[in-house]
Amino acid sequence: MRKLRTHVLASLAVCSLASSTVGCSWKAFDEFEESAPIRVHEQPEKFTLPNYGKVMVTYSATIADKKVSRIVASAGGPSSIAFARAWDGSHVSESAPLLYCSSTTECQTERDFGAALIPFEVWNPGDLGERRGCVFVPGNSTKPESGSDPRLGGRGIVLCETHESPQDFTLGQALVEARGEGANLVYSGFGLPTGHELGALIFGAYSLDNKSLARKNGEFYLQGQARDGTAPPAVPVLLVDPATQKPFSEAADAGDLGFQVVGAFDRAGALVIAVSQPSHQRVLVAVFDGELPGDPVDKIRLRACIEAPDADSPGFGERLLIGDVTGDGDPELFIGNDPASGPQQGTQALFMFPGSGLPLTDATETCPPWNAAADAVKCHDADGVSCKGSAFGASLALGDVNADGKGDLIVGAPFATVGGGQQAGAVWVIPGSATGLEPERSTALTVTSSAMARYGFQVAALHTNDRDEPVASAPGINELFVSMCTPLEAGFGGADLCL
Amino acid sequence: MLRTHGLRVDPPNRSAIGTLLVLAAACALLLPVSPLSAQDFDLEAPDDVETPRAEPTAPSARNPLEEAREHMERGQALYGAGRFIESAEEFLRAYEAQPFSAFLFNAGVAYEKVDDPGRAADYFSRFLQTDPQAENAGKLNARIDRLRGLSRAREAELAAEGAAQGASGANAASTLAELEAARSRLAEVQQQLAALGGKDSFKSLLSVQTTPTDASVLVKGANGDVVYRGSGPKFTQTLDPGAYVVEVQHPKYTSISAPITVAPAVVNVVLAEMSQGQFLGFLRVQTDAPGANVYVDERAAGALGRTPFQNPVKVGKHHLWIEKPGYQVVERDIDIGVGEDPLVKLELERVDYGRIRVVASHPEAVVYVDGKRIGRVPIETDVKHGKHRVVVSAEGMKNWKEEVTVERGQATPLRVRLRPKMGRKGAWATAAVAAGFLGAAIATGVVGKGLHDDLDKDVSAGTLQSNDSRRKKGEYFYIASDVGYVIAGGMAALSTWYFVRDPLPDSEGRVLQPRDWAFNSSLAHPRVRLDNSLARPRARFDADVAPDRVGGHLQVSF
Repeated sequence: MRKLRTHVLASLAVCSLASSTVGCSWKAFDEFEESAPIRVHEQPEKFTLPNYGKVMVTYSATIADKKVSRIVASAGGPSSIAFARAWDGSHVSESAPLLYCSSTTECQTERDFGAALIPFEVWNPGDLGERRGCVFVPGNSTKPESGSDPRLGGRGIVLCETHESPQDFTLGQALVEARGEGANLVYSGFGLPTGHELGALIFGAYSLDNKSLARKNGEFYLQGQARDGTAPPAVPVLLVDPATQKPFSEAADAGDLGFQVVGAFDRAGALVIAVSQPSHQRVLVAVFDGELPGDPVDKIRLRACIEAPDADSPGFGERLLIGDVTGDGDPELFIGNDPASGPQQGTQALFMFPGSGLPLTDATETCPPWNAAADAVKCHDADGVSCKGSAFGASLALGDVNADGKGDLIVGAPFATVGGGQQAGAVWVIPGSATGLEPERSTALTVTSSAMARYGFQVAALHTNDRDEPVASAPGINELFVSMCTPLEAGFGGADLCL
Repeated sequence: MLRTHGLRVDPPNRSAIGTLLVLAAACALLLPVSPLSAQDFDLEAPDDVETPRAEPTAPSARNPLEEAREHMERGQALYGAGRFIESAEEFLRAYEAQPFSAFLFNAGVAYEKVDDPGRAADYFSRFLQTDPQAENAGKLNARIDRLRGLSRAREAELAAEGAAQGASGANAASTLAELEAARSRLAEVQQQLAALGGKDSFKSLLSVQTTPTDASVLVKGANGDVVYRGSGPKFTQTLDPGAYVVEVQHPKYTSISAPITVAPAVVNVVLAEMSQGQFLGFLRVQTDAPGANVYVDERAAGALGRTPFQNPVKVGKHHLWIEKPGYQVVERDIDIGVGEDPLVKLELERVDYGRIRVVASHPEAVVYVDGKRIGRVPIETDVKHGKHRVVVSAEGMKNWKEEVTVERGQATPLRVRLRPKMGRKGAWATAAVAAGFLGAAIATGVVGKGLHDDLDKDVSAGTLQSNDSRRKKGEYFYIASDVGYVIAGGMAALSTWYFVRDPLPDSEGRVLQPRDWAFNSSLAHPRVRLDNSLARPRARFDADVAPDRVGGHLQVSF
């Protein structure tokens, strides 16, 4: 009996000691799912194409009375598109991706399907009920729809969630947009901000010469939505050259006007629209203070024409971003080239044009200057990452990362070398302030040292509670990364990581 | 005399000894060795350990003279107690044992005392017939006459009384007269008888035994005259109490003589050892516990015999040791006179210690008493009387424990059958497996903990990615650790079950009744290694040779 008692006590003691020493609960690792400061969205299983994240956007919406934010990504056209839940109003999570057009065969009927993603707030396709949180996915067609404007060579899809079935993106409305030769159209645009009952899009389009690959026939369009839910054809926005009184798009060499189209409201409530024309190394800035839809688009009037500060800046305008950094209500313009391609590869030329420089009156000449000097946005080595050869500026996004009420610039540098991995990529977050950006306080985010990952190829800002989280894609490893700088849960120590 | 124990064999001649020796040798050689095994070990077998047995006291083997002496002494004692008829009967029993005339005379004295003149006269007459040369024969004849006359007178008186009672008328007077005459005659005879005297004087017996047996014996009176003469081997003479001198003569030896005082109604036995030139006395020793060794004058010479002891010893002073295993030694001084046969009666007291005697079924079993190792079985050890904790153990066998009460001066045999322990190899193997799983569980737990700590650090550093493979890895390690703990716990429980499970029967033992032991030992050397008679056969033969017998003792044990 004594031997039995000794045996049992010894066993219990050893087990207790062992379990208390090393822990036995495998549930202990569950916490890391929520506490990992970097949320990773891997390529969906059905996503068969490489370069997942080559095109990526984020948007926010109120779905079923809940504020949500989504990440939408594709591999560039033609490809499938994946939606990620991202933020569902309470926490940022890895998402079970919601896929539309998973069949590459189906998607390949549309050329360049997925080459561009344009998110916007509201779309109301008639009897289908109001849709919120939408994405316009333009695609090309070799043959325009019969009865449509022969100039229109493209067709796109609007995908939205609904109040009744959030995360259901299966319903889409086909839109016929843009004219053109029906081939090689690339789109860039923006959805009109919230506050409108019906959705509207302003997007640019140009075509590529098959032989010379020159961009030409650049235009930008307004795609509106009728009150009956129908989608009338996109209407070209005829931004008039004050000097010639002819639309810039009708010039002999429109080039790639509309290569990038962005817009934001200023403090007066007017819609500031910036349209880049990299072929001319300039960006046209117009203002629209009417109502959309309804007011004629000819009310979009030129205010300024921003030319590259340096004499020769090829690609100036290939990267275009608008948003308020200083917090004064006037959106700043960020204009740069694509340092990752073209002859300017390796040359960094990113500038910030303060919003206060927007002329207050309509332009009377072809290219009136911006009324404020440009600030060069320089890359500062940070966190052990070197700016040299990093393609700093290959992607741009704006968001209030540090929740100070001022926009912070998120800059992708997909060619940055990290941990010896060439082109592993990095993302710089440069805080905004009342006087502009503070590059010396930059933070360089890195997630991998895998060579050719190209983290930062695309960047975006994911809106959560009162902050924005930097999101960046790494198409080289087919993953998206959300860097949690926001302490979403008490005790989470990431508040000061980014800035 | 050689010491004997066990069964006494009394073959008629020396050739029988040789026969026995041959038989013993044949038994030792031919009987198979029987290795001790548990199956062979029977707890219920009769106790075969040697115990001393008391010398049997068969009346048929007693010395007739001694028997006669006992009756004589008893008769005298009864006479003194006033039980005359019983006294007479004892004297007659003495006569039956040894037909000496003294016994007849003494019976006559007893009957005379009980007022049975007829019988008294008869026995006196028989005395004279047996010993016509008896001293004072004439006086005794007169006494016989008087006794017979008294008997007749009593009978006449009784008759006259009877007649007187039944007479009537004229006859009554005459019968009364006859009755008076008879009574007168009776009184006269009684007076005559009383005048003779010597009513209570018993006769005694003198027996002289000589060595060599053909010696001459002279009995002289107080005045030196030879009153009796005779020769061996046993000279026996009835004589009156008084002082005499006994003289023994032999042509080859120097004559020896000694005075002797003969008491009434006593059988005096005188032993004369011519070669030693002296008389011997007869020493008797009786103990309440028979079988005690009797040592006379010299212990180193060994015991002269055992109680009830009777042996001739030299006349004179002697120191006795009476010793019996299990009892305290008693010492006595004694002075033996010629013809005396003193009786030493003792009550022996047991010693204050006892003995434990252990035999077991396993040849390598070890005995512990009160926690102290005593030795291997079979073994015997002396311990203080009282309760003792005895443990018998052997490698691979279950211990046997018992609290044994040891009596004073007695041995308590224990027979123990040890049974095998339940093998624990399976239990140890299971415990080892449990330990292995526990170790693996701890190891994987440590690795998992390390991964957890690394992940924690990365969270703090802001670099942990939600799809970090270490998360799953750590989970798997923790799961493996949990599984390891569960298996280790199960194996530990199984191992515990195997350790405590014991379907085999316990060792058992039997505490036999305490009994006297045969060999003495002191507490200073308490352990006696017994013959390993339980492991192999042994034969032992002790010869017993004495002048009056030849025998031996054969012991064969297995």
